[in-house]
Amino acid sequence: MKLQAMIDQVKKHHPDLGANEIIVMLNEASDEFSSRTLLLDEATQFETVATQRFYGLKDTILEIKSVDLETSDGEHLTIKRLMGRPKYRDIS
Amino acid sequence: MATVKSTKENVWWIERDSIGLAVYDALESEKNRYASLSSALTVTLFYYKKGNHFSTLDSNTAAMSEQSDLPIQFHQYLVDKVIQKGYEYKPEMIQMAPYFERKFEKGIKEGKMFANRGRISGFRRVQQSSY
Repeated sequence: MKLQAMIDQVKKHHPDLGANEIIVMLNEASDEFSSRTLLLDEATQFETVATQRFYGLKDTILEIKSVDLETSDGEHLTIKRLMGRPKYRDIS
Repeated sequence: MATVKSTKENVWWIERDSIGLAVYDALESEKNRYASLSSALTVTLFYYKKGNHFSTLDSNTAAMSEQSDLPIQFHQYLVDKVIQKGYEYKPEMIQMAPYFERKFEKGIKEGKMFANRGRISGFRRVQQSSY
């Protein structure tokens, strides 16, 4: 369903709401729907930087399922998730 | 001659909205047990994500033809949620809100069933939470 059709449906009930106001509420509804159902998944790649330990995550990521790391011979292997974090903190 | 197995293992964890990557070596002292990766490598993240946001009309004039990246059968539930919120803002018609809330909650239930059907990413693990 295109955005125009969604706005038209809402306006039948709430003609006083502006289009941008409806769009903001549709985006909030979409966030709630996707975070409660975990319906959408995706994979993305990035390059690490030597000696850098932390990499920021996009706001759209809800939960990481698994992580693959390239080996020295070019293969991509799934690596284990650490429960908790290292005792000695390195924030680099 | 016996092969020597490495005790080093790559690990990841989540901390402060970031992903941490390190090499774990059980034979090192506790302080040096986790070392940062020494070279540039490709990382692939597999994750659940939020749906794409619609552009507001002042930022994109072509926004009206955009579609949610949720499967099409769930688009109506987004509309139901907005209609529900609209009624919640009107004290004289607030009794209409629960009807549309129930429709949205039905959509959530169907969405969870759709996500667990095994096509997207295998079966969902059940995790205990305290909220």
